[in-house]
Amino acid sequence: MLQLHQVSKTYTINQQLFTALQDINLTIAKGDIFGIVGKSGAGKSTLLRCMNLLERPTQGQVTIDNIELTRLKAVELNQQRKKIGMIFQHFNLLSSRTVFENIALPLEGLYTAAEIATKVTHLLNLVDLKDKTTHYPDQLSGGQKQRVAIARALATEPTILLCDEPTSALDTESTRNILELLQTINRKLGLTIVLITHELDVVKKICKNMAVLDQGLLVETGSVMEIFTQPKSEISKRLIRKQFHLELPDSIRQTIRDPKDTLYAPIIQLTFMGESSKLPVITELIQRFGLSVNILLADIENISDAAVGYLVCQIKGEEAIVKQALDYLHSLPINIEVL
Amino acid sequence: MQSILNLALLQATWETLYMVFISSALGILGGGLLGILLFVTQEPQFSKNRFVHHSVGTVVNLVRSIPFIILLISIVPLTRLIVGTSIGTNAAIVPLVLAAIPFYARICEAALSSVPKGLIEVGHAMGASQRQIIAKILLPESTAALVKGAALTSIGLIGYSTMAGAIGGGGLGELAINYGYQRFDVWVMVSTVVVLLVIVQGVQSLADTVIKKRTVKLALWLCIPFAIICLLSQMTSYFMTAKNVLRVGVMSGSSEIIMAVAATEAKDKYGLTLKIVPFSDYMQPNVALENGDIDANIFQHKPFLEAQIQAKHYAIVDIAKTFVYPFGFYSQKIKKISELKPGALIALPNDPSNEGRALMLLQSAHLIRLAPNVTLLATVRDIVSNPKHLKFKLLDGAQLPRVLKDADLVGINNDFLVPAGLSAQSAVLLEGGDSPYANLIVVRKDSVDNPNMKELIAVMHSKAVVDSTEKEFNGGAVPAW
Repeated sequence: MLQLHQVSKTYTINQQLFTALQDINLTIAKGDIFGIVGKSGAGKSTLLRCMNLLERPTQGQVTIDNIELTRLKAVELNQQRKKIGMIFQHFNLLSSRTVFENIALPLEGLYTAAEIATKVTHLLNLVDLKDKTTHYPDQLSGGQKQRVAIARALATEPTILLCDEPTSALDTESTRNILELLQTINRKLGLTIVLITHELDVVKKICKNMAVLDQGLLVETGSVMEIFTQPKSEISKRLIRKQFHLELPDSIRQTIRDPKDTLYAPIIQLTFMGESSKLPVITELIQRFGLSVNILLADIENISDAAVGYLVCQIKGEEAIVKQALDYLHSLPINIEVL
Repeated sequence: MQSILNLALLQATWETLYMVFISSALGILGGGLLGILLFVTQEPQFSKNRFVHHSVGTVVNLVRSIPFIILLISIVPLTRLIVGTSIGTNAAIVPLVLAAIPFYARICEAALSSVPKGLIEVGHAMGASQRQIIAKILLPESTAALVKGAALTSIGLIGYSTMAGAIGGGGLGELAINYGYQRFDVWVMVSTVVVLLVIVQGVQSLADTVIKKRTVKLALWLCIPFAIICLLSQMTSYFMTAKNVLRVGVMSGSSEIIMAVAATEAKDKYGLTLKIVPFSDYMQPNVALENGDIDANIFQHKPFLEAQIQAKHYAIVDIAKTFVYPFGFYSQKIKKISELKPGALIALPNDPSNEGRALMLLQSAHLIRLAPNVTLLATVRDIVSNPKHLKFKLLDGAQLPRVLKDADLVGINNDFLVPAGLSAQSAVLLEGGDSPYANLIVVRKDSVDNPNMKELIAVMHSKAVVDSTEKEFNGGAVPAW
């Protein structure tokens, strides 16, 4: 279990105080795959580096498996860090070492050559790179490099794996492979995975729980399903609309409302999940309330192994009736949002 | 003669390899450590310490900004402290190392800085200590830059080692200057340059191969046998130091040839070993004599010696005269001194002693008049009367024979006559036999009674030495005893 308690980080740049993180409280359960999303500059990278004290928080405590890292001396901290693996956006492999030697790096000095060989071979099997043992990093594709990095991070048998934008430098195909690999090791080894990303897609594909970070503040935490279907903060809503392409193009947004039209015509976003997707919502709006419905966008996404449907439409009618219809929609087990 | 030079070339090549190898090895080691210090004190992920970084950086810049020839001469006390002498090949290694350390420190600092910062982060994330990160990540990752920098440093040191002649360090540079430049021997000049080229090319190719094949460790192992050879070569000379040995400092060039004859004579007649230490600078032989690095020197005349003793309070004294090498003026434009036209251009040696000597000779021919109280170290500024409005140009001694076509009258030191194909007989103005400029055998006061000194005098006055001197100077040397 990983806990952050009241973690803050401030920098002084040119004598100006800059707050990168403010009062972050976060608990990540053992075996979780936890995603942290946010725009660039939100503080994701700093937050991740605070978890293994690559960045030392200005205030607050970081605790992993009941050991408070923020209290440890340098030597003890180095011991604990061996239980925390880390991978990076740009892989950070040593160009002077072969695949085998890169994976062996964290083991050197701790084990005999024979033990290291056994461990590395095992890891090479796990990440499916047996045939690349003697290759140098510059002979590998991006996806293969990240596999080596994962194997290296796992070498010391950590309980937590920190992932810094692990797929941001990869193509779609490699991204899928790496995410699958992360899921596999999470299952096989019971490893807790924390990853930061600006791509909501990654979180959607593999995370169980997530947090949204904005300007150094943790604005929302919860299960991926919760946040994707009932986002509370404005920033989460915006991120999701952007992710699922539910943003209306400006040209449509400007022309869709006829200023001469006296009728009330809000644009609404409906989010369906599970059983609620079987409700005949549109039919009800037309037949029962006599509204005209103009469907603008629709999408179905697979989130945490469940189908989630998004629908953006404009409803038009007398204001009182539209309000009744909205009340009706609010009574249903779907998420509704007036844009 | 040619075989002596072949041997000299071989020895000089060895001296250069020895000097450059040892000083590169020590310089790269020291510079590497200093570079690491510079790096870790500026890198926030390590032990950033602005004060240490700037202090060390300033010292590094200071040493790097001293011209090498100045460094070579100015650290003589330090050199003596470390290697026990301030002359010879080993003494040259100290300033070479001192020059290499700050140079390589900057190279190493730059190499380490160019390693992606993410790799340092990897090390920290793995729980590696700073030392492990440096040893296992930073140094291996910057190998290519470090090896290239090492080659750059070694090649730079080959260049610097050519100045080692100033303190009797020997090497190819000294050979090229003394025989090639000062004695007009094109063969020597060309062959030393070729050998230097081969060495430089070899160092560069070695570095490139090591980087390409990733065989740094192998290369480092191969250095060990070479280091052992260097060590052995020093030990043999240490054990071979016998009792009956005199170390005699002379100017490199013609004197070296004559001293080779003298050494044979000394060995045959008296069982005395003369170790000849050639210098290319007029100040160092007396410094070395005073310090005990040599036992005698034979290169100066009385006025120079007196001036030196007066200025530096040396406890040294002359025990015998050798030869007079008359200074003369030569010309391709006039046959007699009386033909000299008003406003004529006269080229003079630019070292203080020979400049004064040349001016004195011109005064004795009534061409100029010098201020009454200046004699030995007179300069052109001391000319108080110049009725013919003669113009003067000061040039390096070895350059003078080369400007005979350009100047009306050229004052040439005897040393450069024969190599330049001139002879004293062709002078339009020559010092008389009564010249005070006879060369002296000079020793420390406390060794005047050393019986070996009497043998040295006898050797220098022997027929063999007189014959070889007359041959070497084509009659331009007159016994002065």
